[in-house]
Amino acid sequence: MSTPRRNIAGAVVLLPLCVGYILLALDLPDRPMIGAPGPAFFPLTIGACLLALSLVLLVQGIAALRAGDGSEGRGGEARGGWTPSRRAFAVLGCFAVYLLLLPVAGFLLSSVPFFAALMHLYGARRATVVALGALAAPAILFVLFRYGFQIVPPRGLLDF
Amino acid sequence: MSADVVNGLLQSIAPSSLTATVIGAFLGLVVGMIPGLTISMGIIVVLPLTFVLDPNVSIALLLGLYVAGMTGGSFSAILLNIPGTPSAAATAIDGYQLARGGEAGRALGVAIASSFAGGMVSFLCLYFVAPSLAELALSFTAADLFCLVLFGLTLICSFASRSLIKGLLAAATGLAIATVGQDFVMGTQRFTFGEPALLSGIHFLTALIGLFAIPQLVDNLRTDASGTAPARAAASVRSLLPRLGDLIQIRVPLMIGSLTGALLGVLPGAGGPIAAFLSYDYAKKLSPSPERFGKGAIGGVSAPEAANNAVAGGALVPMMTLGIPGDPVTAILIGALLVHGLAPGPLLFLENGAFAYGIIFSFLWANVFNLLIALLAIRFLVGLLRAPKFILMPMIGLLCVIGSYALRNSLFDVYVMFAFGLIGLAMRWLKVPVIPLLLALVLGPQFEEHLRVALTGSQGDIRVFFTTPFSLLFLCLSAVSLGWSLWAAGRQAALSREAAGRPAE
Repeated sequence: MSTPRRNIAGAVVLLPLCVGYILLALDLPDRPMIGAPGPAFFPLTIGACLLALSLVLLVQGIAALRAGDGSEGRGGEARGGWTPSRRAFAVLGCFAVYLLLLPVAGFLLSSVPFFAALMHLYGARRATVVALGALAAPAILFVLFRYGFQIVPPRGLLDF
Repeated sequence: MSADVVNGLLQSIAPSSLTATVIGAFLGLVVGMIPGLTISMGIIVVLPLTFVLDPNVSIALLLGLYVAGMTGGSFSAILLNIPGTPSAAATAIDGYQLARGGEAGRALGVAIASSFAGGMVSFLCLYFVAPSLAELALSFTAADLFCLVLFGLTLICSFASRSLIKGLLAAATGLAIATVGQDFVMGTQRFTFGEPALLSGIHFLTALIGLFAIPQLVDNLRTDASGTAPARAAASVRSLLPRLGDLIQIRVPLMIGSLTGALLGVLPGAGGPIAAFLSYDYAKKLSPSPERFGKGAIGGVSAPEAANNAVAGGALVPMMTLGIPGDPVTAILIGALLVHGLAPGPLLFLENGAFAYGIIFSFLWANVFNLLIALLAIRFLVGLLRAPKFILMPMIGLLCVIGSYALRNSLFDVYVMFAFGLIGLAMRWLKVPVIPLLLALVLGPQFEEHLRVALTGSQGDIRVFFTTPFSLLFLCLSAVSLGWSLWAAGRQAALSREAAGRPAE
């Protein structure tokens, strides 16, 4: 996707968020002292700035698209840097599942499959290497933090 | 020499502090050197440690990592033409050409010596400028401080992105996120949605871990884990000590790099890459043989390396004296101090003078150990370039989770970290810079506090911001930085149009 199209997409997402932020700020209980700004003052100011900037981004994007700058196509993608790939989504998916497992299974148990999945995604192919890494790394970190730094990693329902 | 200076020096040479500096410097060289690992990521990895260590030991560790990370970035830039850090990109231009010509050891030696020289110049800048600036900052009113933070934010926005609108958008988003939690004046809950974990707001260290580490983990999927090129590069490293002729040859680029770096480091948001490329450009212009630049000029290695290490000391000046971070690393340093109940700012020198000078001297030792470790352990360090990513990256993933959890022993913070990771990826996709967002998140609370205190004192009269010389100066500087950014963008657009129109003519 070309930069102007990305700008328009970004602005389209940001605009309702800005409006929501401003509406929430308007709802804040305002108990101002005489002449002093209340708790809603700063969020409202920032919300207005955000709204204005999002509108400028939208206008800039539309103007650039009309001027013909939106025809970067695939070449533009290559120059534009990051674009999501299937493996990127897989890493994020692993993280999401891991974070869901964490409060249930605890750090040690949930980290093993997470580590193994990430090792695979980053190119480890030999099953023994993956198994050894996935068992050793979380265990080393657990011992280091739990007994070395006295930081107790998240415990699961099994209190482990 | 005042008692604070002596106590600070003693504090910095305590065995625990020196050990932490050595460990930090070693880790810094490793993370700086390995492409795909950044200094910010290295600091994120050791962050949980700083919660349990004494503040002076924590800072020594982080400073060691910060300083050496800058140098480490040049190793892979010279040997592989892959800058380990963005600041080392300028070093790669001539450093890699020297390495290809069989002079990898010479290039690395000059890079290490130049990093040390740059670091020492910025240490002197820090030692002499920081206390005086802190003393001056004590006379600032709330209106002055508001205008100063505004100036810092506009500067960050101007430097961080090619599009000023996107920089400002990122900063405004950071300020909006900073409003989450209990209002510090009246105790009103803002945007907490009844969630107790949000009462104390979103900790910027949690946000930082997500914003930097998750996109970096995703980015690293694209690069291969082959170790053959590093293995060849390691074999080409021989004598490291720079020759006398080289030292004479690099004296001017060294001075240019050191002074440019120290000066630009003081400006929030300017950072290492800008200083490195700017000093490379100056060194080339002032060189008697500019045609050598780009083909393996030793001055082309020296100037950017001196500059990016000088930036580190420069960036500590506004961090320590005004509480304004210049880059993500100094933002983390602020976080590490706050965790221990120490607020950076003008009062740091007044209330914790020995600690403040301890930081300054730890910076000195970080530079010394960086030089020693880099010279002595270069062969071993270069060997680490072969470390497989399939171990490093999952390990960093786990450390992100532990780091964000350990901050407040809260799983909620882990979820917040992941959410910020997704925000970071979205921002990368939109080409919106993350640094203004992060620094606005750090500066947001004091920005709002100074604004409200100033307006409360003036009974809501906004003329309070135009009455003192300092506030006027900072407002003018903010306007200049925004104006300059707009002018530069306009000029760039005109040049692009001109370039696009030329073939048609």
